[in-house]
Amino acid sequence: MPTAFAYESMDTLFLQRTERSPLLEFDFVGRRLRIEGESYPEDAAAFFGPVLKSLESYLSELSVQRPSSPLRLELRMAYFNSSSAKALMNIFQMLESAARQGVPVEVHWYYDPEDETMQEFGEDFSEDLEYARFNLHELEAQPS
Amino acid sequence: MSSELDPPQAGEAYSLYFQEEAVIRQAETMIGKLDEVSDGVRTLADAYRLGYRETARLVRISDRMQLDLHEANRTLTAQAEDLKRLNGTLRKEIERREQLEQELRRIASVDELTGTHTRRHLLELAEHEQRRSARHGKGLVVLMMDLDHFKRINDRFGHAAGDQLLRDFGALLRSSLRKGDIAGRFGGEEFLAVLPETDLDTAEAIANRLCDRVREGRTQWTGQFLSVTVSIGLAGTDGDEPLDRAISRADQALYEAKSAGRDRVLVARSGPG
Repeated sequence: MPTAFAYESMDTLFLQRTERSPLLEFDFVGRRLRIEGESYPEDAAAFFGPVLKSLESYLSELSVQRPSSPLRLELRMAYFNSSSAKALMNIFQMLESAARQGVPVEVHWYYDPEDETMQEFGEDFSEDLEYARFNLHELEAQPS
Repeated sequence: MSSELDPPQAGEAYSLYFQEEAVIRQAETMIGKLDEVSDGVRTLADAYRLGYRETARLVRISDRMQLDLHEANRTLTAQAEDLKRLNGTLRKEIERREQLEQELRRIASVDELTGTHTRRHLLELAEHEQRRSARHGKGLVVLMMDLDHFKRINDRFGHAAGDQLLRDFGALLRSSLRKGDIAGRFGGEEFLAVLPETDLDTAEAIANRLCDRVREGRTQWTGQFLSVTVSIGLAGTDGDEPLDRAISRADQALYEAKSAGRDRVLVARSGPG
């Protein structure tokens, strides 16, 4: 597995996109989380474990702070396997429970208009969220 | 449900401590039930653990199958792109060959110099016309033409001058015929025309007009005006006669026209046979 360019600071968690793992950028200060690309890491627990951990501690801070502007998660997934789906569902659950505690949360799911599968997955995930707002968007056509 | 605290029934020995005993009995019953509940919770936990392990295993299996599928998909996509590229190249090659074929067909069917049909193409078209005429019982007329003393032009002014004369004659011939008539260069300075659905008199008039125009025509060649005449032999066919027979009769008439002094039209009056 190629070593991904990555760094984590107090403010940001950044994992560069690799062939099998998505780009992941958590801007904790700007309250903007971003996951993009394909996700089928060899060891999904090893890839998503630290991400879930830092998200959890960040969310517990936010639950205390109760910010007025929303926390935004943007997803532009092209492909993911079952383990990554489980990791995404874990993220959604964590965000939903933070939202239930009063943290405003927005999830934005972008999909290629020609990718019916990703559209349906987005619709599917949205059904589990009640307190967090889930928004589906068609990606703009890429200039060829 | 009867209470455990009910007083003893008739026939039962009375105890001063019936209430206390009832409480103990109830407590003991509840302990039994607690055991049942805790057993139940343990069963649930076991079942949940089993289910969760199965789910985790299914996810692992699913990941592995998805990986295979994903890789197969990528290979297919790459192959599809290769195919598309190959198809594009192939299409271009086909287009190129079609253009080439068209060009070859044109070269094979049109005499470059005179703009009339080549001998081979002319005979093909003429055979087709002859079959059509035979089917409809209509006649056609064959014209054999030969430019008079053409060799002298070539000898005196050169082949380029001869070519220019042939070019001019080709233009005259084409403009003298009607739509549907077929004309071609039979070889050297010899030309053949086939006039479908035409009677001999009409064909003779057309041939005479062509003969006149050729005589009156001038070809400009390096400051000089060259002139030439044409001899024409005609043969009509009622449709049943094979084309080569009609051609040889027209050729005979042409020979007679040459013998009679050239620059004229002669009709092979004798019918087929």
